[in-house]
Amino acid sequence: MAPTTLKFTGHGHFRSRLILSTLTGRQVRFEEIRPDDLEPGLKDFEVSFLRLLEKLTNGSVIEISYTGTTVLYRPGILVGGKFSHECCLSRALGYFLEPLIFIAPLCKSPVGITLTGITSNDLDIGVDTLRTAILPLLKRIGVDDGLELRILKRGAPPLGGGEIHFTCSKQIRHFSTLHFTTPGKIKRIRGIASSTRVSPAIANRLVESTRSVLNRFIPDIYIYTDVYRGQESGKSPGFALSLVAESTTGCLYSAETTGSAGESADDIGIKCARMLLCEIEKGGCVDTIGRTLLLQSMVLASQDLSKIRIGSEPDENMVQLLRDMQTFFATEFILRPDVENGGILVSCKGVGYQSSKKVN
Amino acid sequence: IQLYNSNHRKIDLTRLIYDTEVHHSPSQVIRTFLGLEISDHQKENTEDDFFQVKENGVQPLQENYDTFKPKYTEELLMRWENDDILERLRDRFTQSGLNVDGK
Repeated sequence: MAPTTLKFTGHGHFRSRLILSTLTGRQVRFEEIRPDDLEPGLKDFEVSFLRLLEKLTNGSVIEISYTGTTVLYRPGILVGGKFSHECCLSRALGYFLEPLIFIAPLCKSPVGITLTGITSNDLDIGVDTLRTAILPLLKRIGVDDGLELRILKRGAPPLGGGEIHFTCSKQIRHFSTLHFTTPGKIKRIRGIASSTRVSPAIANRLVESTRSVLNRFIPDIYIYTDVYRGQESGKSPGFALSLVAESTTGCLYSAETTGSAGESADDIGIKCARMLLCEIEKGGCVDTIGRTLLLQSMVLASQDLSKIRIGSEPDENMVQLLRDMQTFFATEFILRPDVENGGILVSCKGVGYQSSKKVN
Repeated sequence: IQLYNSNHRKIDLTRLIYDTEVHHSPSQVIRTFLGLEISDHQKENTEDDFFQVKENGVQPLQENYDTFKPKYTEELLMRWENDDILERLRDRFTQSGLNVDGK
């Protein structure tokens, strides 16, 4: 008997639903995608993501209606492989790379992807944050080596011109059970201040202004300046700052901001530092960005109880993600606010997902 | 169903999230969890929630950017100009910085 098609209305959580569909092999149908917009249907970045998923899998079928307001996705097998993909300029590379990082270790063969486009913008997670805050999280779920994210060129909005290469050479059979409940104390802060086609002094001003906020908390702060010139600096001027705070127990909290020509580097630096303080204040063992990856991996982990501590406040994205995972995997998370130690303890019994990797 | 009490801590958050008959939208879940007042008008009107289609089947026009990047209001960030709030965060760090002037 063919599995039933899961139906969703609207374009909300498009990526995560497609990823969950690919992992479970369940066909999904998205209806009423922006039916009242002046330009109804899928946007260019959503189509681009579908094409990227098609390259990563074998046997996927994608049917898009004439108006683009309905999409049917029949997932294939995650095969991986080496290919390149030109991402559209309406979203940054983080939009495409974030879900890929999660599913790449579960592919049949090693993954090597070259993506071109915008490396960081206001809307999506920047490549620096993905490299310094998200990739290390995979070590906790069993992907301890073989991951690399190289930034070959940087590209600021609107014209982009950036290029990155993501490699995942270690394929795993399943994710490890996760126990991550001790936040620890912040022991160091690292960061990357990057600039393209603007004065190199901008990156230094970013560093100075950031330190003016964070120095009162901890002396161990090092922010690298990464100034790109010539062909490697993309097509538009811009600058960005990515900060990561690391705790004594290995928890990572990240924040990032981007600016364009004409904006004050001092303001951007101070804003980013304050955003990092907000993330640290929330508590928990994982920040807002990394939470999605860990929650998804908890469901897929072996049939044992995984437990993590998240910050004190869940958000709408997380609530909908938990509901979607219940729909796809028929498993529920248990959330228990911890009054004594702060945060919320989230636990879940894994479904014991097995990837299509061959057993040697 | 007693979902939360005055300190909004002893609520059954699991039930709050998965009981979609009581709380249709993720926004309502969050508002209830945070103990924010929900007027009758807000209960009926889920237009501010882009995840749910309203009962009449019309898709809310609010754009969902499908991103997990957190958003911070200016008000939230400006809090850090207050020294008292900054001091409260000091115990999250292993050691204090050089001095309050940041030098």
